[in-house]
Amino acid sequence: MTFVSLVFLVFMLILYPLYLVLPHRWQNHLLLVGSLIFYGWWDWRFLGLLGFTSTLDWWVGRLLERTSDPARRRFLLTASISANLATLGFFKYFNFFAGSLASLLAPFGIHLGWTTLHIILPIGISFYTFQSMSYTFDVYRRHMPTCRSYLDFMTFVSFFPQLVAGPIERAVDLIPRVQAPRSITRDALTRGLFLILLGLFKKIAVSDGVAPSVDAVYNATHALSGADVRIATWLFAVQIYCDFSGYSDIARGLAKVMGFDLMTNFDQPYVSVNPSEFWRRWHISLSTWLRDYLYIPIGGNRGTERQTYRNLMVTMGLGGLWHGAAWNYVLWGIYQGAILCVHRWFTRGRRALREFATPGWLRVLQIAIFFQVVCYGWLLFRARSFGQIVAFTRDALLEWRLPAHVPTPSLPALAGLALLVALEAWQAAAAGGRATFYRSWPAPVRGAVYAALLAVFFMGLSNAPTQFIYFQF
Amino acid sequence: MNPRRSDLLATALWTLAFLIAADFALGRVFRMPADPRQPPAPLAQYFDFGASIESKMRRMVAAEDSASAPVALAGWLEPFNDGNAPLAAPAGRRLVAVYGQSFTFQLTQALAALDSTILLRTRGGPSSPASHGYAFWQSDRGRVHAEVAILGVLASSVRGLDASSAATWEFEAPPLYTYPRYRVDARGRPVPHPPYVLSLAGVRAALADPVRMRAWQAQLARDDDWYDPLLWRASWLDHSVFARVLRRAWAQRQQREHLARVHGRAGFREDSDNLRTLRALIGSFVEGCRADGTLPVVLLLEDAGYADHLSRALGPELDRRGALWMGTHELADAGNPANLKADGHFIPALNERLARALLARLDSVRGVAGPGIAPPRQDSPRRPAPASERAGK
Repeated sequence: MTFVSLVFLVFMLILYPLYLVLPHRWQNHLLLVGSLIFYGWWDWRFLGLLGFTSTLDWWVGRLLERTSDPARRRFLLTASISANLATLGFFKYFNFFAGSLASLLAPFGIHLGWTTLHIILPIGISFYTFQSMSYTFDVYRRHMPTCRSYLDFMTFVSFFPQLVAGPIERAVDLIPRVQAPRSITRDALTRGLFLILLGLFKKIAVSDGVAPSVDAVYNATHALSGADVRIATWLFAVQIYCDFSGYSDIARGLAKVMGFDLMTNFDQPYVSVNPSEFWRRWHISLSTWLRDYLYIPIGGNRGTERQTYRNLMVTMGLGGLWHGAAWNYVLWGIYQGAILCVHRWFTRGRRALREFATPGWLRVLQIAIFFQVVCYGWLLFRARSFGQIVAFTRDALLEWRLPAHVPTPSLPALAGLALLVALEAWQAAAAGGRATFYRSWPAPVRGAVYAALLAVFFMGLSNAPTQFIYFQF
Repeated sequence: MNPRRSDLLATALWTLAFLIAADFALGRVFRMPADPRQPPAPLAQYFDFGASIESKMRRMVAAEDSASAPVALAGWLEPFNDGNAPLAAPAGRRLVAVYGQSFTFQLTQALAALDSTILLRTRGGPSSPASHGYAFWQSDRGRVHAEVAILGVLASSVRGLDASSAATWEFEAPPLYTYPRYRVDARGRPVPHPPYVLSLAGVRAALADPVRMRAWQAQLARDDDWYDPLLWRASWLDHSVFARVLRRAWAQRQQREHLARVHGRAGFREDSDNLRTLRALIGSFVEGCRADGTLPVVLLLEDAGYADHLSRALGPELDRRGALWMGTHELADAGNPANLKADGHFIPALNERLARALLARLDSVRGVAGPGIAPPRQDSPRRPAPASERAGK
């Protein structure tokens, strides 16, 4: 079930009152059962994989606790990582690599009898695999004690608000919250409800409202103008941000009203002026995961400049592949790595652009320019084929025919986008980026903003619903 | 910072107050015109999309036809009125009877512009589904002496085959006409289940008499799979903009689910009642025309979002019957916005191209085999279009 469905509403109406009245241990049991129902709603067979991943890493954690022999500990870590990545690789990448291999060998007259299997991709597998792996890493590094309770560990891995699309929580942060009694303050409740509203507004009113316009261009079977490509790509930037950050907002809001604090996953990424800043603001839980468990272990920026560039490219390339089994995601990752390298070379590793200290007008200009760089990445991300990437790149850069035939987004999408831009601009300019900036406003002003969000959300309910983009990852 | 309870209450009340104020203000500013003949402003229409069908009908239907909304007058099977539509062709002309909707009419008008001997008789209504066109054709049988009868099947109207009123499945901007709901009997023939209301006068009577309205609703509940009391019945909620917006969202959800049972990404669903009915209707139309000595032509109008789905669903059946047919996707991709006007109809140039192709097919049959006879295989309409026809596709 998804957050934007009636069945989920019913689910929460049953689960939440029970959660409020139960004592701590029973709350955890309820969360675990609820999370398994939530996940199994898609396909009960997915539960087996979730159980396998959780059980494996819980056992490895217990075994790590019992030994201090470095070689044995390394072996256990390697076994856990290998098993997790093999599982992820099989379910997510087998067909991709088998198909790619078949395509590669075909020109040489070698035809593989088998190329693909009928494998269903378990929803959210990349997210919970990484989350579970973070536990093994942290126990191995002795950053946290072993989780003794299998039920607590299962609750941590399967915690339904962030199970299928993040944020990818660290075991060191979330397991203690599972284990300790939780209190739900008025502050957490109001903030949580606001986040849920904001997330629903972003997803239903804006993201779903612009999706048909994006699809009309990226799924087109006819010739397009450069204006079509540019407008659709800008709109896709809006779509993916509102879709993904909307999901994260709802997840964080749901967690908050249950007494949990999940990490901030998006921090106004489109006000970034360079790729380094962008990755500190976009999908923070993944970028920090990759930094801590991949980039730094392979050397980070501790070696020569050349090694640093290599590490950046490897990290971002694999980060791209994490998104999906397709070459355009790899290309997107390589592109992100490349612009990070260029930026690093340009600034010689220093924050030469003084991201937060430039004059307002110059920063706005930098934001506008860098947004185009980000959007080209989105073109790579959204494209359906290599041929489309080539054609769209050519059209976007060299083709200036008018008019554009992109369908106009729905009224709630346009109204929602205007409202969102106003709120984000206020947050960036007047509130120094503070996410709870609206709380300092007088009650009538807050009431007006909430009413506007609700009104546009109601209008947006007429948009044709689309699946959350990141569910496929 | 833990907000005080009084602050929370104040914020909640302010939110509610602003919502109520916005509801009232939007309702006042974006009002539908009092005169149903006046076209509404786009935003007024947007906020009215979710009004109940009954309240829309009350606004559209005035005491006199002349004072009612034009769309309310369109498409009625009764009263039986030929108006200026010819029943037979004068010497030197050939009568082409056309049953369908604006897509069909625009294409056949282009056909008549290409061949001055063609005299058109057009019957149908906005978004007319094939069952509606078929009912018009049935009412013409025995009275009209046409050389050619064209049934226009619009892909996006196939959904209306399990309805008996255009108002139920065109919820947001409903035409009001009704038509029989056809069900397929054991021998594969379409059997009509006539609507309770047959004319605009019948709508007036139902709006004035709750008993008749209930009888109409009972018939809709029986014969119209799109009927939903929540969407049909007027209530005090029609006065609230946000209630209308929420009702519209509910309607969209219901309609998406309904449409998914008829049509999916891969095409029309083989197990859908609509497709079974459609095949029975076109089969009956083809055989009936032949029995009447008329050449049957089935136009498959594949509008945006349907690719060649109609041709794939009906082409084999039409070929099996040796019927003359043409799918528009063969010559023009409705997925290309350059082929469409802002309202979704084909651009005139495309209609002309389609009309030329249709005329060539009609001429290839005419004189070769005579009316009502299957075209020779080499002239099969499923052959690839000539390059000249495909130009600009």
